Amino acid sequence: MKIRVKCFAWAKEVTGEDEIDLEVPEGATVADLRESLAERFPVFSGRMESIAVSVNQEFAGEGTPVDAGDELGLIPPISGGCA
Amino acid sequence: MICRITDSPIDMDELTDSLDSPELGGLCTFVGKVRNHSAGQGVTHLEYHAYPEMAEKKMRQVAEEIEERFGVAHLAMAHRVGTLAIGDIAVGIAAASAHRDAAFKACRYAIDRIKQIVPIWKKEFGEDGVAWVEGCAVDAETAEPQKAQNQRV
Repeated sequence: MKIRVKCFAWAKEVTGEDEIDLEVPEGATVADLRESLAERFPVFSGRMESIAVSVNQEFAGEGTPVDAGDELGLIPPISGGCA
Repeated sequence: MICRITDSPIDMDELTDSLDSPELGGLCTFVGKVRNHSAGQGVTHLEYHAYPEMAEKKMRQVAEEIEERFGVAHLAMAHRVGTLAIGDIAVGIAAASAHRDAAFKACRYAIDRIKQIVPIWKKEFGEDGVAWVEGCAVDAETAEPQKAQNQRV
């Protein structure tokens, strides 16, 4: 199935897109999303552990299911506020 | 309660006025401003980017945590996005309670927590080039922050 993933900050810059479409198997999880992402954009491979995935606006662990209807996002390390 | 991502200048009076109530005797504010230096390098300006819907949701989570921890329910938080100049307000927080101690604690917790879990990104433009400032990578399993290295672009 095809899923649509929002890209932010560094992720938006390296993909050149606000949103990307990825192909994952039926019953896929966040781990499958990452595998598909790294295949399509190898630049993510080296720093995947610093990129969080959000599912419906919540941070999601590797086993979280992802579905075509979910709102998915790639969340690089954040730096809000002001020191 | 105000939990807002905005591309307009932050008005601290609006935040504090929103917490005006006769039972609130202590009101504490934090103003985060754009600084002209970072890690020993000069900074000319910043860009703030956000995932606005999730950011406002996570700000509401911060507010819930503050109510649980400190019993403070009167909060106003605003974070600006877009291109900001040196001295501009990037983030404004106001916390009010009956007495000062809880208000100070709530305000401090709010800014620290925003930097950990609210999806907002800062891009620094300076004499050393351009860099995403990457403070906190979020551990997916725990949804809690871990330290990150800055990413030069």
